[in-house]
Amino acid sequence: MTCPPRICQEVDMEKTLLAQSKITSQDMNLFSTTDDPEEVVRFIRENQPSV
Amino acid sequence: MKRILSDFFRLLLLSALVWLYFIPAAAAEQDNSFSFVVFGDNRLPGYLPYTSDQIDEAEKCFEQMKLYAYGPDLAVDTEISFDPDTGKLDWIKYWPKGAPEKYRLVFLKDGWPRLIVQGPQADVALRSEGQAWIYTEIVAESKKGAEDPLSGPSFCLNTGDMTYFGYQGKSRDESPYWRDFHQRFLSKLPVGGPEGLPGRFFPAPGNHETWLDENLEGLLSTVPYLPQMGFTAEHRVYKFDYRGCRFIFLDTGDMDYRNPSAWGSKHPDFQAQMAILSEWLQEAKEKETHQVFITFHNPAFCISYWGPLPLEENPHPYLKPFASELKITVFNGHVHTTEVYQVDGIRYLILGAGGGEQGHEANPPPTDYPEELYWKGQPRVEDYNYLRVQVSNKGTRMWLRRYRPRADTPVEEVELYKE
Repeated sequence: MTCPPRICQEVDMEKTLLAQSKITSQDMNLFSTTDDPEEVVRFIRENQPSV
Repeated sequence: MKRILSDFFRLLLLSALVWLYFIPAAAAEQDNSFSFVVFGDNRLPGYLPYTSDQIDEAEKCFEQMKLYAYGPDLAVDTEISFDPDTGKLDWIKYWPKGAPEKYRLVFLKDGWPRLIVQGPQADVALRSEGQAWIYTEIVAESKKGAEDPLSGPSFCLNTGDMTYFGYQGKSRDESPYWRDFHQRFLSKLPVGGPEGLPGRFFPAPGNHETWLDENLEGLLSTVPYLPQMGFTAEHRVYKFDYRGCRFIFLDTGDMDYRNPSAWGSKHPDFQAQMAILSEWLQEAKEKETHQVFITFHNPAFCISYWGPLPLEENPHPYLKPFASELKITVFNGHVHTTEVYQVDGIRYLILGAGGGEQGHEANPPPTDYPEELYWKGQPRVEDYNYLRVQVSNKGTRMWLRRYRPRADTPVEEVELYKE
């Protein structure tokens, strides 16, 4: 998941979704947030199945 | 004993004959195999590195962009926000006056568009990692190809629109777009070119290359070997041959918001370019160069955005007479999506999803229009991609490598064509 940092801050998942038990702490490991395209590409390449 | 020896020598002779027959054939096949990649419309829209004390400059720059996108007659409302911590432009939102639901909201990072959301459904039109992913993948593949042509592409073709415009500087050193493209892509390709080619990157000019840079200072300073291949600001067509294939590049011309799908080039004009094209195809036929790849920006067949080149300015009637003797593939861009057609034996591929903002809207095709073979009428989604073409004695294979941010499998390879 990617979003501009100021939006990410507003939707602070840890303080809202996790605190309200909408998700579990393990769910927090299912995504990563960044607004840096190169970092996103690193994430995609590290997690893409080899084709 | 003699009989055993005689059988042994017979077997040896047979093995040698088999070896002599098959091994050179396999070696010859390997020698002719190569691959290349194709992508286009990779420029990000609008570099806006402005701070809160530069609002006049930001508005002037935006005014230029608006002229291009909407023409001088449409009034546009804007809202601009600066980050209170850094003072840098944070986001810009604009919409045609009186139609706020048709907004486009651009989030920026260090002046570069990072994410674009547009109304009325808040669709994502751009995530800049699409472009970054394509650059990274092509560079990585090209490095493998430079070491071993059977493991990766030998060179790249581009269907146009590598830059946005020349308003903030024209040449590679002055233009933020060309400088960025050079730094993050071209300078990372392996040095030199394969087998006498002067480089590994061969573009056709798009309308953005000439926008506020009529003499192509940016393109010619960024890809400085193009004049060696016959391409100049006055003559924007060129060709080269590589391992039995001919590659031809044409120029569809400047952007005209009043007539965006036309063949507007005057360098030379349409009729003169078609005469050159016919001559180069005839030459390919006589040289028994059976496979030809032709690249030009505005699409010959298209159901997106501005649609195809009009029939009277469309190369298809000039290509058709050669299609029975030459294998012809055409690469186009301009509309920021992917489309595939097969018409009269000629393959047409629109490769316009190379990193710029995406176009997800298709128009209803006219009656009897050739079937579009990529989306096949299905709803379109964010899809950033490049094409890989493998040419070998066994035949030609084309497949897309694509990144779909919202798909279950974000990175995929999709075969488009196999002989």
